[in-house]
Amino acid sequence: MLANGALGQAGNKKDINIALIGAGTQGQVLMNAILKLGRNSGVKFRAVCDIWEKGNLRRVSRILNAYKRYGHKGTAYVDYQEMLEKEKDLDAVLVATPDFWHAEHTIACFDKGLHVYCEKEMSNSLDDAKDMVLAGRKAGKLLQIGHQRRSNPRYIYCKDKVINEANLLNRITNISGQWHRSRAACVDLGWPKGTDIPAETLKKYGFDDMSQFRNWRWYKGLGGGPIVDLGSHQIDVYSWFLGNALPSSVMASGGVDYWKDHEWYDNAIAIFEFPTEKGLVRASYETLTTNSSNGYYELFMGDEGTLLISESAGRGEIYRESWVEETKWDPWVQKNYVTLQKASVKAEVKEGDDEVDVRESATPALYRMPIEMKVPYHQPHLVNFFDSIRGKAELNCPGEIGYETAVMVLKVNEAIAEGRKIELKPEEFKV
Amino acid sequence: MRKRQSDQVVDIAAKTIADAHHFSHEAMATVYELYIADEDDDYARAGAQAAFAEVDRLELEMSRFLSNSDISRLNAAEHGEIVDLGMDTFECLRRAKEMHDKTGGAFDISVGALYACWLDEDRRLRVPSAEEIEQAHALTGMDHLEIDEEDFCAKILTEGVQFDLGGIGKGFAAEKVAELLRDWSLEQSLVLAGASSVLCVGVPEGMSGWPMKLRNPEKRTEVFARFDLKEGAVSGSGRQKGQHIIDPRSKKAGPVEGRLAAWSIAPDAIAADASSTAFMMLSDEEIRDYCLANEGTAAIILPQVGSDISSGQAVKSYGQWNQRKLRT
Repeated sequence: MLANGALGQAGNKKDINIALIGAGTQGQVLMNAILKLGRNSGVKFRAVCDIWEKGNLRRVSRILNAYKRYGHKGTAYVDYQEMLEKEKDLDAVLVATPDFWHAEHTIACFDKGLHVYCEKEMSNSLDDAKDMVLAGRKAGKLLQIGHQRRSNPRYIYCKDKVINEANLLNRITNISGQWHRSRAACVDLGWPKGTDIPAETLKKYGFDDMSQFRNWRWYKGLGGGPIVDLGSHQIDVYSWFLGNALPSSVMASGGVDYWKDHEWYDNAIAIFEFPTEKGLVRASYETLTTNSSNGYYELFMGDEGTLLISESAGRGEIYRESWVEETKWDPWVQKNYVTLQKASVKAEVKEGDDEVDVRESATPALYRMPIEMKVPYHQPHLVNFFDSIRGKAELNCPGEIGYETAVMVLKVNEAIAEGRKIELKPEEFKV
Repeated sequence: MRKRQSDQVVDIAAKTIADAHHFSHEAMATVYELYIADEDDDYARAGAQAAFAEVDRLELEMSRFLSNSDISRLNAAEHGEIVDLGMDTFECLRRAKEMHDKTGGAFDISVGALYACWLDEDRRLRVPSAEEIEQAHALTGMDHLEIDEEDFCAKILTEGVQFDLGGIGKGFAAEKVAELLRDWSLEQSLVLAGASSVLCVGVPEGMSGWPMKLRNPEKRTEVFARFDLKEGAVSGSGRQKGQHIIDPRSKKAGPVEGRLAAWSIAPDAIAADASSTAFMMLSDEEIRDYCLANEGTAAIILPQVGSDISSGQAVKSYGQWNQRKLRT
């Protein structure tokens, strides 16, 4: 045993006792991020709930029970109401179920006086999303929405230091972003033989069959398709980096063009207009499920510089427009706000030289941010939630913010369906 | 710890394997491949997809190239720091320690500093100074890491040691994939982790085993052994195309010479992966002793032509290799 004395603290009153509803891939990502906080995190799993008894529920329950010495416990439940009834000492719940269950699960937790960390999209219905925020306010409990980039130190650094303080991009005029996923990563999920959820259970929880349960993201009424699954995170960053600006309109195109038997658009391209104090920012976003070129990133373009940022580890670049003198950025390099990776190559006339040196094409100067992501991607956002419960922090993505993003994202699907530009009024984003 | 990704182990052209479904996926800087014999094409494909998702998940946990992986967190930890790990990384570290002990320190995941000292930026061999070697050795060795026997954590006893699961991670991932395929009742399958590590999950009905071949990496047309893999794993290690393997056991050892390639056959892919690297540097006697001490293990060594070691017959084999029925 390496750490001493810590184990006796399991069940300590200062601990935040939590349960997980929805133990699929995303639920497991959250669980792992918490387990890696270690035995002294002050956060203890008590229970897990999932309707896939022979799949997710068994796996996650076993893992949690294996961490018994850390004070975790994985009592397994299929019925979330039974779990909330029987687990008397919970403080908070992580909700990572399919989108169409978020509201019911979240509101049930608030009714029990528990704090909630709910995965994005907070709901597939804006009415339900609104009800979640209202229920949290009524209960006086916290609602954190899982836009985890809002707690990512690299993103926070770019927003606070690079964009706001150093103002290296100057006037941001455009944003673009994408999440391109390969065909191979988007084929329908299967499940091992002999692990099917009983038909009556599937029906009770709103699924036609096992295949729909596994691939709920593609179905109307259950999920929202790739624009919601992937785009939501990034469109949220658009707004956040612009100071939580809200778009005045959205237009979009998309369709079920490639995949068979899917209800939601397998590719979507959207254009938002964000009025800001500095002027209009026009932002495009594209998500594909057939091709992975260039992966995923967000690109902020100002008249003096460009910021490329991605959650993907290590991907972050800042470019100075070639007409902007290097000396203008030098003070920020000296202050170590950014580091110069590669100076620009110019065919300029050097001092003491009276000829133009013709050589390779000019390339823009490349800078990097001196900050790395050193913990699991979702960990800082979860820690922000737990710290907020302890009164030591404020939520980085409270329900109100999550709602704004839900409006932006769900309106993309609406714009595609209606084939028109949708105007958005500020009051539409208010709960 | 570096392995060349090649088709030196598997006889892909053999007809017997052609009836199985074949799937491939890029991960861990190599290509993972699966051969699955199952009547249901769609089911086999879904199983393969789940298997590849598992490999991707493990890569996020264990890659030293990702700043927030478990291994990067270990590599960045301060002296005395206890790093809480995921179950998978923890288990892999535990096996790495075990293989380190079993191979007398020849297999070592703490060799980051040593490789940085012996190889330049283009991974070409350089001549380090005695001081550089001294410093690198001060940061090499499994005694710099204390693995908790009961919990999922490890303590860094020396700051700056650079761990690299490159010589065992693929074998570990192959075992996790096999576990998943068994859960899916897809036991009649073969897992290839970059073709340098191959694991037989089970033999399809009507086949005597998965057909393997071993060939001379310097003369690729020269196949010197063919056999059927019926259980366990086979792994190959070599230093083709200018790759180098550094012997971590002593300051005098340095880059391995005298061996062109080594193969290990072992009951599981983790042991095969790690021991094939060790076989590149262990002496003939040490390899023989290793095979005697570890049930179900065999070694095949291809000495470098013209080197001292190659004075005897060209290919040397140890352990339970000769009992294997070679195909002709």
